Amino acid sequence: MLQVTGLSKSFPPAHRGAPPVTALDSIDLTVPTGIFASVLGPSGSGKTTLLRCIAGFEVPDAGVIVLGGTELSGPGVQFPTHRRGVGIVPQEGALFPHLTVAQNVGFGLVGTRRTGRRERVEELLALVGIAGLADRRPDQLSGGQQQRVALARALAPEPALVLLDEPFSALDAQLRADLREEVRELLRSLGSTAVLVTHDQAEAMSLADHLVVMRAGRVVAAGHPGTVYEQPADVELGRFLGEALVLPGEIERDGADVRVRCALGRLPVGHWHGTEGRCQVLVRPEHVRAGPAAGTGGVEGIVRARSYFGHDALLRVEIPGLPEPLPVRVAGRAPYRVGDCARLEVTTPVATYPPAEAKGCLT
Amino acid sequence: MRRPAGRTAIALAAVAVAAVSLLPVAYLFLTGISLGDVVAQFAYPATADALAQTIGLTLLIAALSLVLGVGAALLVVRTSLPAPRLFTVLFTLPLAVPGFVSAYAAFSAQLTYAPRLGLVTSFGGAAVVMSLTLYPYVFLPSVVALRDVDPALEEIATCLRPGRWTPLLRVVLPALRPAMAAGLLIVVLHVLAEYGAMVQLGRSTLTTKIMAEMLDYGDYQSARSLSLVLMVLSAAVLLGTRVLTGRGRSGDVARGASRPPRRIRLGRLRFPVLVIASAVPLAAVGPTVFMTVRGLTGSARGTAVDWGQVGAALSTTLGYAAVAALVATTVAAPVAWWVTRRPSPASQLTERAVWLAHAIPAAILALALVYLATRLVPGLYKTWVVLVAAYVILFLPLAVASQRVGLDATRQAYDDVAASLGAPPLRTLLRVTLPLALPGFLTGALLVALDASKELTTTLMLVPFNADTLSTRLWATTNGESLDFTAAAPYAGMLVLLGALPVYFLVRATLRQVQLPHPPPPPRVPARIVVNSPS
Repeated sequence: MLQVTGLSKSFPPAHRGAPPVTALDSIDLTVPTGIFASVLGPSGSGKTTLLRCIAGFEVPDAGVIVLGGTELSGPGVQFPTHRRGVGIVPQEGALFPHLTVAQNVGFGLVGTRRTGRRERVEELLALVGIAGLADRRPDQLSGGQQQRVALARALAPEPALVLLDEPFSALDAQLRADLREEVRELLRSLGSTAVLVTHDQAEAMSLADHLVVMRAGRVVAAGHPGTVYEQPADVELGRFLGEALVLPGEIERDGADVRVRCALGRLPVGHWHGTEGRCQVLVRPEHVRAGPAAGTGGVEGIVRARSYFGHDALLRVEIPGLPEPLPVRVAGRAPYRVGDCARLEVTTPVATYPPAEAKGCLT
Repeated sequence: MRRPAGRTAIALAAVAVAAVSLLPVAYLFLTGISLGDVVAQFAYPATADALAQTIGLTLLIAALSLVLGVGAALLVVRTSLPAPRLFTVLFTLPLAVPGFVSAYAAFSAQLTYAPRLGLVTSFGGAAVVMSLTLYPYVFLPSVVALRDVDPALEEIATCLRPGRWTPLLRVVLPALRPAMAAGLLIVVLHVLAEYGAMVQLGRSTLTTKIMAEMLDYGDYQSARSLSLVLMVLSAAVLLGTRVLTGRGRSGDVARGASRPPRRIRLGRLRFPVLVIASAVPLAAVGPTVFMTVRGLTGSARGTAVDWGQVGAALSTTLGYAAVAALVATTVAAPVAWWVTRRPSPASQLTERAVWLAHAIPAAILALALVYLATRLVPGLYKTWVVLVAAYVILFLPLAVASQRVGLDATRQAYDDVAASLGAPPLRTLLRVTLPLALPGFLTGALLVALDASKELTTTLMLVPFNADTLSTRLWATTNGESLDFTAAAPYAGMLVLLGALPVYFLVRATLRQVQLPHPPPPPRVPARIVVNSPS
């Protein structure tokens, strides 16, 4: 189990006179053994610094890092990286260019007998699906193969924790999707504890058992990916995690029955911020069902744009009273064209938030 | 912030190395030179002439070297010139011949076969002779840089702005700027500091004037004053090449699987280009080789060669060069590591300080070391220790520059990964950092050895009593003994053979850039959109 408590780290300013850059501001993080955790954040949110502190590449200013009961980093304690037992898969793989694939994977297998080492390397290469490439050099491998070698290399010494630093970001979309599925299954079957750092929300959510969202050096949300996505802590987080429309509304409460009145009608509330009166309503494209204009219920709008993805399509529907078109996800074969009328109905209880500050505009 | 003690130690060592290499500069100022002394020098018209001549020669030789070096690199990497690898070797060959040897050979050849011509000793002739010996310093980095230009950039440039020369002018040449700057810096500093060749070619430059003041008139005050002028020129060059380097390194942007560069088909021009390409190295090393062979075998030779004397000079030269290379490699390491791994104003300033020491003329360095040795450790004066110290200070930047290239092959990420795999720092150093950086360290050591073995100016002033190096023996023969090169031939031959060895290693490293990469990695994006532009 990995436990990070109150971890802080700041860097000296880039220019003289500028304030120091706070990369980590009292971070808490708990990853139980065998759990795959994703740390999601925009660039500059401090997620890579967090990873580097756990690996021991950076010395934190304050806070404690405990792995499997051993304090790796804390006041007066600073384990050097090579004694931490933490494997890392860096962004571009960082395979040692002068060593073969087998030598790369075997690098961490010191103390093993030579024959045992060879067997273990072959076993690992088979595990990550590149058996037979043992004698290649890194520059003779494709990007995906390089990442597989980097993973095998990190797993070789059987680390207590595997850190993945945006390991798929340099790959093509299709390869990336395939490889991350594979990696998740592999790590799960091995029972490894892993922390993935990424700025790709789809990647973070699809892989994680436990999702942590960071912003400006702080943890702004942590929990099951479904919960974090469906009930984001604030509007900004909701927008960051996926396409969403935020519109003004007004809470109408009748005992336990909380509803919100807005441009899309009077909607049931799933996640209520707790006060009555004016509020903001977060609506996701998949929460809205589009139907023929002739039907009843919901509101009517005009399709202003359509992005076709094959399996589905995203419509942007203009609705009277809304400053921005509403994104709606429909089946790819749904026969909507730009200019068509559509009747929209919100099918899922929505999330509400306190009204936006003073200006009250929809940004 | 906590900081490992090792890094502080390395930084301190680097600063100490830079400080020692700045000793000659300190000497110039500490021995009391006023601005008045410098101005007084210009009362003599000869001084102004020498300054004008120095600047003129420097500009002309820089321009010629640039054209020859970049042109040759383009021919080898980017055209269908036959046998590009052979030509890479041929174009690098002039590096094996010391400037004063090839100047002396050219002069002797003219004296022997066309005494009235006066071509070699003219301003333009001297510039051509010098350029032919110096252009490889531009050629070698240009070859490497050319290989790194991603063909995709050129294709994009052609699409955006159709035209035959667009890729060359807009993509290739700008990408070459850092290489050209690095090469030009070495060329120009060589020209400014050259003594032997300038004397042979009958040119009067600041350096020859400084040496004359010291060796002929014993006027050290004038020598120091003129040296200050020379140092200002060198400092200007250092700043100038910095501007030329520009911002943004193309290599940093993308490192995908790049295709080998496109070669321009020469077609009907193939034969004329082949002739021109062959003429350049032939003109550069031809006279030396021809005059050496003639001197060793021809009827011109009166007495037999004293091979024992040649052997003694050879072993002395080799010894000094080896020790200098070893010491330079050792002391350059902290500077190279610091500036590569912890780039900061302080580390960059330290590296520049090393270059500044390289930019002051060798003669002044020798003077400074004599001054210090006689005052601090009189026992060391006229021993090999002082001479090796001079070599180390002179050629330290070459070691630093090559080691930086080597260290660039390593990355912090590799060290980090190695540590995460349980490797303690020493194992990381031995298994990861050193193997990657070793080629750069070896190249640096070889460059130092090469330049030390053909160095003339400081060697003349500092060589121990009763000891002779190849270059001092050769120089002795130029003073009237035999102007037709016969007496010089054995030493010239040795110097060229000695120079050929480091050249071989340099070329071997460069050839990897010239040949096509073995099994090309599978393309990531199979489909490529080809847009035909109207031509």
